[in-house]
Amino acid sequence: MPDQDTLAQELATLIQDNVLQSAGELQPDSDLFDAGLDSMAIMQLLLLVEDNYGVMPPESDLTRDNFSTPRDLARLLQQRIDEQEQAGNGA
Amino acid sequence: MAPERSSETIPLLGCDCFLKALDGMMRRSGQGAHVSQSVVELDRPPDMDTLRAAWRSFVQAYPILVARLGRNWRTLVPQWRVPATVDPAKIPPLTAWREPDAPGALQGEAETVESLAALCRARLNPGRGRRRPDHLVYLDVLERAGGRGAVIVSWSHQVLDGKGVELLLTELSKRCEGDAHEPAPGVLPPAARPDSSMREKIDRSKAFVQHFQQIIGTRFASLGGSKPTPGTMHCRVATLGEAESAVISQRATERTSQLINTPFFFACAARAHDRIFRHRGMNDIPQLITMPVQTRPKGGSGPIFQNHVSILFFRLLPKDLETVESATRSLQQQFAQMMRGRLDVAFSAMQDIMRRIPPRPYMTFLRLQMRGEITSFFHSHTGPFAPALTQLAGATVTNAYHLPVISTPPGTGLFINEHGSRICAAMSWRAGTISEEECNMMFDHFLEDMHGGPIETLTETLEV
Repeated sequence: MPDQDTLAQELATLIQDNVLQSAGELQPDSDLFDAGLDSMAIMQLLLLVEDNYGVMPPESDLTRDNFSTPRDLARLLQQRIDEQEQAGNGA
Repeated sequence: MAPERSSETIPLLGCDCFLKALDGMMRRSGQGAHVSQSVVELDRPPDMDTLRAAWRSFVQAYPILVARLGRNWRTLVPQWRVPATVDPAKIPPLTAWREPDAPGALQGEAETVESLAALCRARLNPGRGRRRPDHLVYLDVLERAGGRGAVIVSWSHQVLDGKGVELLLTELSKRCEGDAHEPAPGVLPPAARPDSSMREKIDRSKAFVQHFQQIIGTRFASLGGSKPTPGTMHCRVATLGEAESAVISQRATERTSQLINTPFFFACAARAHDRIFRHRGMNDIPQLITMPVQTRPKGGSGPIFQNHVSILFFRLLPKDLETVESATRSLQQQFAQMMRGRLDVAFSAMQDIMRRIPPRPYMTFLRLQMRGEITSFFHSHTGPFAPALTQLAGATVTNAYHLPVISTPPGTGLFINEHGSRICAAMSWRAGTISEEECNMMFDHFLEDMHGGPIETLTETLEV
């Protein structure tokens, strides 16, 4: 798993290439809602995250704070991936 | 000096062609043309000179507003024939009105109209005949009692969708301010228009066909019935207070999430319709509902014109409709499944294939698939209304909402948009599809399901 900074950059590129194609170049601290993130785009993003990182955040994670920027999303994903790995190790 | 423009043709998009077919059905059956409306309420009337100049400049910049429909006889796809120059006599009209008790800011240039509702009613029902209105858009400005104002855009669904009207108003506002800005694109650039081979479209549409075959066995009904029938268009819009809106938003978040809460409102709309079916003794009626989803490229400021919409098809069985929670959960699961399968893309491909079919056989084919119906009811949640639209020609925007026009079938629709921190709930229906008692019952049920109990006072209601 890449470190959080790298993950944030990866997510920025993933979102720019697949979800917010007209937003221009996204950076780790770009405001995704200002860039056009809406409910359809969020759903597409969740599916991309699941396909690329094997994590589907639960509904309680779908908050503005967690999706404001690629860096915020990276922080959330890192947390969920760590939990998943710990749960796997404990089994 | 701006470069000389040549005339051009703009092919209709997939959803445009469906709406063209729907418009034809509506006009043939005496329902009138498919003209919807959007209302922007203001703290005062806008400056008319500024607005007129901005409107003229807007139409000159986007001449699709004076285009005529034709057909490309090589591809058989309908198209807009856009002139190179805009004849000033053909610019869609901007008309000033005043309510009888208005202070008089527009005196001398405004005709008197009884009320905002009366003005909306006249434009929403452009006549029962087969003829289309002369213009694709009508702009009306109203000076209201108490010194307030309103701008009403009555727009043909052949050339605009709800989001497009919001973009139109935002662009118009910028022109009023005289801001130097990059104008929003009017239409998709040629490179972005649908252009895959028929084989590719057929392949891409397969996922939708499979999904449709799974759900079309459901015997569903609409309150208006499957026969296209004439009936005056009516709308009721309630703008809820901040406190009530906050309660509703909280309930939506608790049952869905903060970011994807539209299934909650959809569920409440479905249950409100179920209430009326049960009132009529039609118990345990499943619902098959079409929901529009935006296909505009995300992150940009347009394009303004044409219908950039795909459709997702949802099914609700009687057991799903038992509670708000069960209906919401079912819709959420279906939404996630359809997005995983990219059914929005698949349906767009299907719509694209059907562009070549002339309107009458198009609608015949569609309604044959749906046993005469189109959907159990119409619903959409268009989100915040043009968040960047805060001013219009010197007046401050105090509220904004859509008055969606619908057809029979299905005869009814429930819709949501937001303005600031307030929710606007709209109900549309055709006369003859539901009684006055049923209207009140449906709207009350819709609001109560959203709010978790009756809303005691509705202070801002528009009844058209």
